Amino acid sequence: MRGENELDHLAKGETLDETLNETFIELEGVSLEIAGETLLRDVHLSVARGEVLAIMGPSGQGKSLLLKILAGLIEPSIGEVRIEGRDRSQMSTAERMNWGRQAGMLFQRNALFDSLTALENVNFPQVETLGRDERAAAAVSHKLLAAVGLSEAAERYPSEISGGMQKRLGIARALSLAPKLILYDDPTAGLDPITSRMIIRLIKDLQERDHSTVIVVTNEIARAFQVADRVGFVFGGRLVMAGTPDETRNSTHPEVARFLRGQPSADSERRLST
Amino acid sequence: MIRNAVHHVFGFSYLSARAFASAFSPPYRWRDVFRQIDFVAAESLPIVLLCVCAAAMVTIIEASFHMKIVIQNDSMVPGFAAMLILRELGAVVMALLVTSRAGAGMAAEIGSMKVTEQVEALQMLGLDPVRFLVAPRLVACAIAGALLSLVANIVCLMAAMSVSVVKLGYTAELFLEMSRPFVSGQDLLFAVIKGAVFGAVIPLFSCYSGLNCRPGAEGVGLATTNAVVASSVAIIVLDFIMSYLMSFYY
Repeated sequence: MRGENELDHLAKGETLDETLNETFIELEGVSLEIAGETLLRDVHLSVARGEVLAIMGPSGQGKSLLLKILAGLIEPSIGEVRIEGRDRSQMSTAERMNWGRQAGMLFQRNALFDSLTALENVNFPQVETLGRDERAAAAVSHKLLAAVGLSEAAERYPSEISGGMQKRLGIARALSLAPKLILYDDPTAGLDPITSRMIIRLIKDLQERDHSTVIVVTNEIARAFQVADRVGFVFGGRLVMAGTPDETRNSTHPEVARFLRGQPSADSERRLST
Repeated sequence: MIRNAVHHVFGFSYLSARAFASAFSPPYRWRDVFRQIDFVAAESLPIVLLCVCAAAMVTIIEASFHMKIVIQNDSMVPGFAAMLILRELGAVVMALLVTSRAGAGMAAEIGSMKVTEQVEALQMLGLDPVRFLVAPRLVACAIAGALLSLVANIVCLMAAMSVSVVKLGYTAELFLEMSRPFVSGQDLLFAVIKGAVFGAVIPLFSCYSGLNCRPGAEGVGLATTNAVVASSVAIIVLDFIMSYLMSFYY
């Protein structure tokens, strides 16, 4: 049984999920310090190939930073990030670039290239990173846009489409390099419940189609439990637990239980009062 | 504060070194370079010409006025004006105008990309933001700076000559004849070199400010201001250094 005792197990050097044999990416004792402030502390996490991991937790606790460390956008101050068993910090520039092509990310604010149309946004990675010619890239892009239901919006600019459509376009772009690992940073932020449900369903459908490894930061509790193989909970810069949806639901960790009940933590209340 | 300054000096030096290394190693992004040359040179040309011509006209009228008071004639005005235009005015005024127009634009554009996570999106796609964003602007601005300096200096001299003809009673031939002892082709060459160096400095400061932009609209505004101030100061300091070094060749 995993849960609030997770850190005790981790301190003894155990991985989070020993049942998953083929580890794709793992964090070993990762801490992050920026401008003298420790934002992530001693995070141990192992994600298996083909797994869907949802990361939850209150705002400002380090979920997005954790995702950016996994993506390689931020290097940890302490600890190792291992990809298929290899320490990422020991990789050559070429290997790291190659790694970048194996990971796709949907950013919290979509990060769409606003001077490019929807089609060009999906073409761009293929042309620039893979060196595909425009016509071949467009053929792939049209399929991806159809998969996320944006065929009609191919010639429209990001500013001309709705928030939900921007998310779907971001997903299409993240998938354009056929990545092995896809990271979603709060894919339902600011969306209505129907669109949120659709986006989460889309993420799951695409994962089942491509058998990719998915790590999704979300606070859509019900949806996360539906689609995730495991759920991690970040609080105070620590990964306080990572377990199956049932283990998370039944967790006795006070912060996890409070979050699932929708009660603010003592820290949140203090911040609100100030 | 000192720690912060040291941090920025190292950060800027590192970015500059990477930008130069990327600019001179393949793959070259010529399409982006030409687009930036169009943005920096072609679109800045009218305002640069307008301002350098106005500066030249003021210079020659003021020079004539003061020479008449001090040495009772203005026979040295063409030579003095030509020397001032070629050695200082043309390149520096052009560079400061390009900073305020194109430099500010670059800082705002890259700053906006930074705050909307577009720079991180490039990294996620396996693209180096320095190679992709900074290097083409560096090459384009160096070329545009040289071209603008060449055109600005020639047009500036023609404006000075026109004022001499209309206002001071010189003929065009006389203006050129009286300028010849003071200036040569080397001055124009040095002006072009200055233009290229000033041009290269502008995107480095603009891109550094943009890439280190703080979140939000205020952050983008601050990055733009910092870029213009830092580039302008750098241009003036570099002008002093280059003028001193070039003085050994006059």
